[in-house]
Amino acid sequence: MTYDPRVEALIREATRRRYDRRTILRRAAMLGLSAPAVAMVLAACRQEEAAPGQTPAPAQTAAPGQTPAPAASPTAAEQATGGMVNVINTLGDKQVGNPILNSADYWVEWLCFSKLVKYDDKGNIIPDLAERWEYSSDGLTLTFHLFEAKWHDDTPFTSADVLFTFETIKDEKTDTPYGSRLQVGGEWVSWEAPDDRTVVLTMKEPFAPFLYGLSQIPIIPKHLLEGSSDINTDPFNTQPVGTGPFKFVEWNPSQWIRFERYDEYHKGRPAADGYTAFFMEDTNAGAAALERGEVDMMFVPPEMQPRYESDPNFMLLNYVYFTPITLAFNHKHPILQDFNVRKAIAHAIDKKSLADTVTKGRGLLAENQYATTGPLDKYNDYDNVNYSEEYPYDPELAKKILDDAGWTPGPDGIRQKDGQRMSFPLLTYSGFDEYKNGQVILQQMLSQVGIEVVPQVLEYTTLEQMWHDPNDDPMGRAMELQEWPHPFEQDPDVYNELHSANWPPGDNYMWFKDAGVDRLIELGRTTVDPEERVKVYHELDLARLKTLPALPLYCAVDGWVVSRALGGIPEDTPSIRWYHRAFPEKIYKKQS
Amino acid sequence: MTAYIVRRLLWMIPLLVGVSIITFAMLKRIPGDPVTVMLLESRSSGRVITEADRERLRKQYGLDKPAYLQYFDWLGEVLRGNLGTSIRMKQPVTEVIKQRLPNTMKLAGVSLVITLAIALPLGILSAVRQYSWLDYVLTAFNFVGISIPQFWLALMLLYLFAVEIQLLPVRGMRSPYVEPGFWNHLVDTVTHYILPVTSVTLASLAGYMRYQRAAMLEVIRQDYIRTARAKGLPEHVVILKHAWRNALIPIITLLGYVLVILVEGSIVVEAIFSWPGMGLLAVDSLQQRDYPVVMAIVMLSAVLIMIGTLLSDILYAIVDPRVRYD
Repeated sequence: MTYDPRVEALIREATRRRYDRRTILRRAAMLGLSAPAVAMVLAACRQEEAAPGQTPAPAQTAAPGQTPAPAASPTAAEQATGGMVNVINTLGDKQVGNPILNSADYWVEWLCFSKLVKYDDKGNIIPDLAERWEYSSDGLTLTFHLFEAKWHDDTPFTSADVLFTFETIKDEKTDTPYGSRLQVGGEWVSWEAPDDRTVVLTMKEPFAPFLYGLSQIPIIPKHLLEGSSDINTDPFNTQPVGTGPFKFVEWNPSQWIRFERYDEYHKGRPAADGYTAFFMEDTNAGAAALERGEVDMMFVPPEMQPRYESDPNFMLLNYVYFTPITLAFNHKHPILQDFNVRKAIAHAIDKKSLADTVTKGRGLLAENQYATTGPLDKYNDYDNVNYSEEYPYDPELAKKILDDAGWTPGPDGIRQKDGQRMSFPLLTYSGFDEYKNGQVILQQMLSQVGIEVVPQVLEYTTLEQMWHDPNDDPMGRAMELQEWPHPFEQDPDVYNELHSANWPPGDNYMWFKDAGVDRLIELGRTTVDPEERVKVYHELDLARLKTLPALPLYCAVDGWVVSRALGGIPEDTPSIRWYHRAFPEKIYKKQS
Repeated sequence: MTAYIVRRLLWMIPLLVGVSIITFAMLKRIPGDPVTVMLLESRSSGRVITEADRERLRKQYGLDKPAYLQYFDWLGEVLRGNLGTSIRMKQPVTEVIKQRLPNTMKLAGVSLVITLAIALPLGILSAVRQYSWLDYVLTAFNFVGISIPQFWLALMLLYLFAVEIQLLPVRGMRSPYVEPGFWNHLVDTVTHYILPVTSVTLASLAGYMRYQRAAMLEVIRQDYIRTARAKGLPEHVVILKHAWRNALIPIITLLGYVLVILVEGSIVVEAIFSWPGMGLLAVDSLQQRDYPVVMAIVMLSAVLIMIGTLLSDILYAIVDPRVRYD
């Protein structure tokens, strides 16, 4: 096959943006590419399974199956590293110094401090302060071997700092949200340090999400905080000292935080001279600053993304959520407890047209429990689970199921049974047009089969109060359009939100209970071996398909706009949000 | 007079208690608490905070107690002179306010001086040349000025000068990187002041001007002005010495409120230009349900408003001997 630069460009674009097949075909048609070329693109993108029902790609494609190299990163000769990277702090002014305390500043945590381990942008766990770690064969002991590193004030980092951090979190007086990260089965794990570079943790039962929990805990310096009269208000809280790639320089309340390169960083000298994080809560002000070149990178909501898609000064990089947007059913609701009703609803929803409309074509159909291409993708069982195949869009079938279940259309067209109308409030939280539009579309689709849906948009805080109220009336909160159940971010564990032990005031606020699902969730969190664990979650994917705690609709793909003045960011990163957290030391401002 | 002042001061105590109860009750009525807000944040940044963690934090902040006990806890601390600790910033509330108060005073102070420097002379001119074309133009300007909402004006200024023309900075009080040197810093500071000061000034100009005009109009019709003119005094002496001094009385009484303006600042302007002052702090704290900070700001305002009105009343008696408080 002759080389066609357009094919390569399309491959790069498709892998970067994770287009679905339909989009690729459409784009290829626009470019006037031949069928074999299209096949090559499709093969390269490994999107075959993602969009069933399309014409299969020609099997004889000779194209190499490997993904293309990351889009050209400039060579060192072209652009020198260094420079100040300007970023935005959207969450407002906070406590800046101590990252284990509640409401810690985001950038201070990621730039100044290190954890034992962290996640990269592909969902792999990588070393941070721990060079390597190993589980004992029974999965009860976890040993970390630490890097040789120094605090920003030149004091050596040792295992004592790790123990001090854990002790501080355990102390009831410490205002920290991380307590449960160091607990297994409701009990604190025990920790000890045989020497300066080793930390050993012992737990009473194997607990697979434990490493994920540790990836959340920044390590704080013992020598600066030991003996503090009140760690919650210690002066350290305005003058952080960490082991991360950048040193804290200056905090100007509500204005910015400045960081400079820490040359002694244990993973090598960082690329940029420093970072400045500006506080800008308003997205429009942020966009103005972005276009003026005052900030180099920011999250932009879907409605603002199109204007950066073709702008040569910016890259629009993907940020895939880990949970699909779902239609979640309240399992305390007497009507929705009936599986057949949930099944009928699933058949009555045309997910594809819903997803295309509300995400303007950027979303991906959700056919499994976790988001496609997200960090949890590998836990999806693509061989056996496909919601659209199990519950294809078929309003007639939906009607038949409801008829058979005794729900017959009443005088107003709404189905009823024993004097009860089939009418459900559908709640969502405010702030997202996507959800509001989704509610209306669902309302329309379900009305076609005689189900009334009453959309309601609530403030998140109001909704949250309803979730955790054990006496909340299920009739007022029958269905929700949001992302439920949430796993831990890069860990597939859904114990909190799906296991029946966590009914409100716990986090299983949709009141789901199924013995088989419970068992798999428990098995999933006690299986430490990574491959075995994947198998458990494949089973869970199937169990969820058969029990329908919630119907996955689509995976939202959001964007970060990144200025082309920045270097060190691969354009094909599946999640820019995790890339900049995992590798802030690789990002720099190109110096011409 | 002394008895009157003492009485007024004593009245402040039940008033402040009332204000604090109402504010506290209203804060509690807003859905969510600091932990819920944190939950939303952690959710949007992908963290799961478990029920046990939430309970621990609520206990830490005393949110697990009934609301009336939380109020008494707060009141007890305040009576001991402790305004509490900011939940969000983990610093004593007094520290947080100390960082922001000077910024608000700078913005409000500069704006006030400019406003008075423009409004008073123009108000006088407008009155002296009543029904002249100048008076009509200023009156028209004032009507427009009073009608335009401040947030709209500020956003338009921001859009025009910072986004479209890119002449002035979008936000804040100064840039993080300024070349060393006095002039560079001066230019940087001044350019950051222009838009917020203009927004505040334009919004308050009309009120002062109308006020001054009305006061002046009343005064120049008085007999003693006619007498002054009859003595053959030059017109500028009549206006500036005899008339203006008397026309200032109502303006002076307004100055009692200046105290409030200086400390509270403009929530709208500070929020739009991310000016790190008290207004922005109030908005942020309310959004984050940082109860101790919100309570402190509201109570501070209440105290200032009460002292401000008291000062106005006292000033009134001082500048106008006809006024007596017994």
